[in-house]
Amino acid sequence: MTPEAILQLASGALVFATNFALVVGLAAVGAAVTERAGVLNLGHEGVMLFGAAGGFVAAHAANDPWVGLLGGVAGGLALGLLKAVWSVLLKTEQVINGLLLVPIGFGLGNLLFKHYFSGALEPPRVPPVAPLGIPLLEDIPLLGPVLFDRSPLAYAALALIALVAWFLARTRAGMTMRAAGESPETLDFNGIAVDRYRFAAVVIGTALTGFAGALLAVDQLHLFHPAMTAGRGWIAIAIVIVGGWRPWVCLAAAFFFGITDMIQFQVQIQAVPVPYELLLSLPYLATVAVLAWWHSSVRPPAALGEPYRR
Amino acid sequence: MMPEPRATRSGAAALAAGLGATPRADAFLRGARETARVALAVGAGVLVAAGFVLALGYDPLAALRVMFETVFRSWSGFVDTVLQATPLLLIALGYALCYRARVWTVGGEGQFHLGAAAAGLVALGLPTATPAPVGLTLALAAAIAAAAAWALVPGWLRAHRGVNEVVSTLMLNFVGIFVMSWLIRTVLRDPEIPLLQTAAFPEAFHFPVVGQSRLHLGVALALALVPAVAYLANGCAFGARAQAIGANPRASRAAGVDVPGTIIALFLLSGALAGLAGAAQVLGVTHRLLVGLSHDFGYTAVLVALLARNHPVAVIPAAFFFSALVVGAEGVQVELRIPSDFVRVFMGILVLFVLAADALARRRAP
Repeated sequence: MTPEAILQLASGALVFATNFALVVGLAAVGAAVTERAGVLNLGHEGVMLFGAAGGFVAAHAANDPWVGLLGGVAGGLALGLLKAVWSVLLKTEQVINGLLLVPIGFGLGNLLFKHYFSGALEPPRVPPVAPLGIPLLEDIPLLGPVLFDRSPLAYAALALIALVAWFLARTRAGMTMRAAGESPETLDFNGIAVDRYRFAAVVIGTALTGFAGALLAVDQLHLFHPAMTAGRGWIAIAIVIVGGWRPWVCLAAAFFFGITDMIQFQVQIQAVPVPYELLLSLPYLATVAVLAWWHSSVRPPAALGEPYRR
Repeated sequence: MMPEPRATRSGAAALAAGLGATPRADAFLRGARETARVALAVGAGVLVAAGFVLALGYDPLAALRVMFETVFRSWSGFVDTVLQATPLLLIALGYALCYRARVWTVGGEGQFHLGAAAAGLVALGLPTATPAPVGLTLALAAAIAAAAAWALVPGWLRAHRGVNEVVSTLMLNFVGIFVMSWLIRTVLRDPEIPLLQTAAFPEAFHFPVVGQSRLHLGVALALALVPAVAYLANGCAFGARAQAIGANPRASRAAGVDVPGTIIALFLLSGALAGLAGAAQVLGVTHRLLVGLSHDFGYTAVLVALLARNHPVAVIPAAFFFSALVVGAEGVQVELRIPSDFVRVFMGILVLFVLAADALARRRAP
């Protein structure tokens, strides 16, 4: 193999890993925001799939990938409202009402897709988005194609993560939101409505995960498949713990899982004699292993999972 | 102990007092009230679903009629429903035990596949002349052992390292399905047989059936286990310990309850039940291993346990109800072209409504 070929292979692999990292990282940031406010949402897998279906149908209908992203966000918002009413207003068990978003999201996503494309003879696709090559930087070997020649939708996802990190760390509303997860009594004592901030955090979280689903369907795969999320929403929940509820660390952790996904894909196409079932299991086994060995220096939000009652 | 505030002032208790109340009668009335609440929630869920079907441009009454006819008009439709309810019943019994302790395992899907794979290994590995009682016992034992071992991993991680069991059991579900498909593709591959399935099991490894029907031994086994699980949940110290852990783990530990041990026992029990479900499916229904063996049984059973509000006896009607919905939805898809995905949304909404009904009842009588 020539050095150029090796470089090309390596940057292709890194693009694969960063694709995974962006989708899972964005969903993890969504889950982190919700958990920071004290609400546990285990339904991100269902939200992501519904976001993917909504995003794909919207992108196809409007023939515009940006409208697709909005469709994904709208799908996430819809399920988020359901979750927020059941968790924050009705104060039902958060583990259960989150889990229920999975069958609801999968069912609704498939219904939407089949309803819109009923009678289509071949699987519908949306065109890929032209990458936004940044002059000069995109020519850097290895890192150029990975960091500086991606689709504008991918940069939008990155910008969104930056925005959320800034919001949580630096704005008054973000700090209040975190207080709702650490010490809701203190907020209440100061006359601030805890449930309002928690409601907002749930809805923001699912909107981000819906965005992630649309990114997966519209920007990365250009198609919709009922099993396309393949556990990404669950891995995102594990990543929140590994990332210590901090957005940028979550993105970094997601990149680690992206590497395991990339390894299984590369080994498969190189036809190494390892059972492909073992390779496909790698990201899932890695998730369990990391959760088992990880000791984060950051502890979970003190009031996580507990509905606030006066 | 569970506090019972205002119980003496509630209408039902007053009625019970008038009838010469005993604690048993009071408990009965409380049960009746909870059943009525679930029925009300299910009714509301049906109305919402009907509105949704209407909004998509279909006829909800026709859908209901086709659903009912698919399940009840023919004997074979009814048997299909019972056969699909059986794995749901077994897996949901295990979930109900765990959920009472607020141990939220959703690992039934993977454990089901491990149980089926182990039963398949025994059935295809032992000589075909094995006497049926010996063969079936060995297959069931292997299935229970394999699935319980699979459940031990997330159980130990939860009990000793505090790993979130929802995430770990889900991840292991994906892997468990891969384990079975790997076995089908390699170890148990028969070159004469088309891909994605094994050869049929020898006769000795078929569950006996009732007369000419397809109702097999596994159905009876599942029903027979209901009182056993009900005893574990409500009739003995183990169930009380599990419930105490669910109510307050710190206080239970202070009171001398072996919290990690109880949690691991719950995982092993739920794994064993799910493994039994997998074995019953291959020994009683398919008589071979095949890819796509489970119709999401492990996930639908979560909803079954929740609809039954984790009560082992109530799991029977809940499993039959959700199985009827799934079987009925297939009929609706064929006849009316309404995608069967609908039923997943419907089941999720039903359980959401049950949660809401409980929350509203709590608010009225805090």
